[in-house]
Amino acid sequence: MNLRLSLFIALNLLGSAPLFAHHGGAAYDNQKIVTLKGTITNFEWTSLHSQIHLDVTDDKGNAVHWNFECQPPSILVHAGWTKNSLKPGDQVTIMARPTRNGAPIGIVSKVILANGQELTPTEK
Amino acid sequence: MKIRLRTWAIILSAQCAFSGALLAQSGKGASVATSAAAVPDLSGVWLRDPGKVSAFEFPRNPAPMTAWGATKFRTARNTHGPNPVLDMASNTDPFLKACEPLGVPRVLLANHPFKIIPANGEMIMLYERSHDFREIYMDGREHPKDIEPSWWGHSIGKWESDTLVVDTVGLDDRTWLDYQGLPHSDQLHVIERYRRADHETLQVEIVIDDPKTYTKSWSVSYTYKLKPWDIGEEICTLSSEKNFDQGIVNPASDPGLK
Repeated sequence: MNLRLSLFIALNLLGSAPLFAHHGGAAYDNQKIVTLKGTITNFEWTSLHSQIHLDVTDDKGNAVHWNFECQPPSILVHAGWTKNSLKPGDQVTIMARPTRNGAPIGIVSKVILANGQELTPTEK
Repeated sequence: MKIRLRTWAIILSAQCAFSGALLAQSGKGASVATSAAAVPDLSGVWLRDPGKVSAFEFPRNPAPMTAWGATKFRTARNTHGPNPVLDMASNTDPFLKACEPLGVPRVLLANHPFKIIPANGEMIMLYERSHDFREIYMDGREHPKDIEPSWWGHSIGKWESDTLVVDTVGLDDRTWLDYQGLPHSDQLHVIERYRRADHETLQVEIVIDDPKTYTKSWSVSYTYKLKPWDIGEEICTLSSEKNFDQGIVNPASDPGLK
């Protein structure tokens, strides 16, 4: 599959949401989306960026701790989030753009809760 | 007869007093409305509709830069722009790194709403990001001579038909025009034109006039939509930035991981 097609598919997966990575910008790999299933360990509901902490078990059974940048509460409230949307112990799937350096860091595109509900950081 | 004359005198002097009052109201400070219908109502909470444009950046190369401007632009390092740094720790953005004020016009690029409040002799703008405000003086005053630069400058406004025209000078050159780091000097002169196209829509034109930095003036036009929201609290603080550095910036900027 050539790069252009991959990029086209990736961009369409994200829908038409504009790039909100104002802090991260080019530091995030905008041509890649990672999908990670894990357990919330902390949800920092803070300005200027929220942070979502997720424990993920990889294919080899190793625990990897991911940390995600997310929009601040003043934006998330208009997209239906509250500070209790994610609680330690919640089993979720997070789709995110990872950083370029391979660290377990990314910026959230979408969170899918155990009950199937989807949370996105942008106002619908 | 005498009574009639006195009565006429009373009536005439009352009319003169009333007319005089009307004339006085429409004299200096004509920008201040004498009735609610006289000037458009821009009040409300407005959020920029990004549409197809970048949420945080003016266009690439909006106008040719002077040598001074080009040199200054090269010192700006951010994860946005034509030559972005690829790690957040290297960025030199005064707002993101040091919580310095966004200033004018950069505050208008935020993906957070702002509120317009008409008040006596001025318009007040409240910006959610970063909990800042501007006063646009509408009482007919001029800019001070020999103005000292400040983060938010000095803004005066007037109505031109249905458009609020805001003129701002005296802007500290430590701010960036946008998230790419487009430069400006303390000679920057910003003109904003606000027009309520319909109840839900505010059209805003921003004109950048800075001959020390750009060889010609340039402008952009943005659309803002009315929102049924209150302004939230969104403040850049040393503690918020330190927390973000520890959690995201430093691990994401570590070159030793790949």
